[in-house]
Amino acid sequence: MNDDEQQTFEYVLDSLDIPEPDQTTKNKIMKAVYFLNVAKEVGAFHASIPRTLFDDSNEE
Amino acid sequence: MPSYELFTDNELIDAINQGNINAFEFLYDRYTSKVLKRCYFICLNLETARDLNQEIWVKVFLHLHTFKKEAAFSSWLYRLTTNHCLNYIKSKAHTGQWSGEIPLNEPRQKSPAASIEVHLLLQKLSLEDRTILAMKFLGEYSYEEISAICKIGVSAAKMRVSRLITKLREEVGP
Repeated sequence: MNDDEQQTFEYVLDSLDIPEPDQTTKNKIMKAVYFLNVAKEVGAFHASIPRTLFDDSNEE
Repeated sequence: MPSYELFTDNELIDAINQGNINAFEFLYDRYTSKVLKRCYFICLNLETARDLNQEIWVKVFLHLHTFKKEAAFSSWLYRLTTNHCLNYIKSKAHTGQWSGEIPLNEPRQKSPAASIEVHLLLQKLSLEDRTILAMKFLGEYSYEEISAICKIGVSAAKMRVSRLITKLREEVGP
């Protein structure tokens, strides 16, 4: 990629003077990530249980 | 807790993949303002950009295990950002909720004059032109990929990028 072009583009991005993301947004994202992580761990735990333990059929 | 601020991106990613979600906070802090800027560049609306930024970080967490570390994490992140924003605009355009027109009152009144100038300049570019610039410089798409997606020739894609960059350079420098 042409470095001069990339540099111009980065300059334009910086010139936009966008405010930094706020703390509330960060808290929301971290909360979502926390729950997704718990769900992932529960899912992994569930998957690790042998299927026979869930089998409630009366077949001998 | 380890001092995550000293970790490289790849070390943070390893920690996150091992279930240390505190490491995710450091990755977020390192890149969130860059992601927000990129979202804003594509949609030119601060509220939408903030929403997209949130969605992107949840997506990053969900898909981080697919990152192969063959290239820089930032490249992977910016491509994900570009694709997410472009898909958003495409879905809105498809349902008629996005005309590509940007209200001219978006720049913050307290922004420095140079910033307002850049906002106005970007608003004057067509959505297609901003998409091409985003694909090239945010998503690091090749000219061949841009050509295939936009259904234009490779040389036309190169010429268009060069013309747009010249225009940006003339108006805002450096």
